[in-house]
Amino acid sequence: MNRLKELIEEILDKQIQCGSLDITFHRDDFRRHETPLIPSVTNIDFSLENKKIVLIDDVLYTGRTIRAGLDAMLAYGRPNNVELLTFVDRRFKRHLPIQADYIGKTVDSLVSERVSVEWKEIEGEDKVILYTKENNG
Amino acid sequence: MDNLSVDHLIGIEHLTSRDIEIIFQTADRFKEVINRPIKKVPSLRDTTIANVFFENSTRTKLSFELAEKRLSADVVNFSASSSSVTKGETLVDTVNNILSMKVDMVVMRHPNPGAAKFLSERVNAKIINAGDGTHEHPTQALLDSYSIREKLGSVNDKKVVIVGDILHSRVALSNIYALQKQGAEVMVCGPTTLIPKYIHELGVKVEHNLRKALEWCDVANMLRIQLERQDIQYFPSLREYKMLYGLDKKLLDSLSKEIVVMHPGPINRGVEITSDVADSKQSIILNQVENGVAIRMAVIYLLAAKIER
Repeated sequence: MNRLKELIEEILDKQIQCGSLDITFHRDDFRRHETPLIPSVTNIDFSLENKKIVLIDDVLYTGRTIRAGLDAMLAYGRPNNVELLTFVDRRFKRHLPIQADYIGKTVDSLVSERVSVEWKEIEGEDKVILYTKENNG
Repeated sequence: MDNLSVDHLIGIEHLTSRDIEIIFQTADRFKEVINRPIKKVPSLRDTTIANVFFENSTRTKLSFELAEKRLSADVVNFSASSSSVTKGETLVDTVNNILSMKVDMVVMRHPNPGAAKFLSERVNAKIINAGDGTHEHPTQALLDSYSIREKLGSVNDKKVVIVGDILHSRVALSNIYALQKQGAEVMVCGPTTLIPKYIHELGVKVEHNLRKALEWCDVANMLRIQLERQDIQYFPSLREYKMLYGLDKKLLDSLSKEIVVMHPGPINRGVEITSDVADSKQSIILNQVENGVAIRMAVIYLLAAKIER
């Protein structure tokens, strides 16, 4: 996240504020899973009131995560405008009318395929992997 | 991540230490939610919860209601004093009537031990025990342990003394189970008449001298003297109880280390604990209340995930 912040600051040539948002409690599929949805950490220590926001997600697929994210974000204030940045856009499989403003790479993929993004800081290497899960699970 | 091993929260006795850890991790997230500018999430907007209170409560009822509302559940409240219970309706009939109105979850407080378990075996809804007589009060014990974890980093290996009316206290029993499951050592302290005869079989230490108990412990949980449950006199006078088992600033300051002071409320100021102790920096009484909402949100959220659609 810090690397992203630095990159954006370099492009815009100014300081930006950066936080992480967990959308678990705003999802529309509560009770549609076998196991409960366990949330991860939200850390936004500033108000979003009247700010210009870029919402970032690694993979844009059905659009449901972004829908929940927009909803979750509003708990921190009413932003001036919101744009969406994604690393990988899996087009043609959108469930909702949501499109990204900034796209790293667009891929055409099958429903049975999965896309995951790995980070140098976390997994050891920057990687985007397109793979098929065995027995189609 | 897995869910709780139980379908209802009847007592801590039936939880595993893993269950307690799942509840705490979920509560961490809800604690962040209730400190946001907008303290509400939409997770339970399709869930209806009935708060059924056959016994008086201010804090617990308020805390549950806030937790439910912050999860966006629909809430109905019922208290026995203003209901048909006084006309002779049975517990199961009362609750079945409520459930006919399509309620998914019942939070119940009842004066009879075992009432929550009885209900969970007979009605088709998730049951959360908000106190059943002198038996258990699981959410209170969870928030107590959660507050210790928050203050001291962990509950494991901590020494906790529960002081006061152990005999009539559901908070004490739930706390003993919860603390032991997390690896803490538990001692109970109070007059002989208020300590159950066979309590040592639960693996707790018994001490009748308050100073010795406090010197031993890291955390002291000071229980309220429950005058409403005492139909006979268990000690000569409140004044004598206060002299032997009341915690005041002088005693607290004279200890060889700084201990954490807790109280489940409501406080009888000047009986089990004096005002200057209740308001001191060693006291985490108000943190307990804040954590209560987060813990109850976590329990409701995790059990609601088990409601069949």
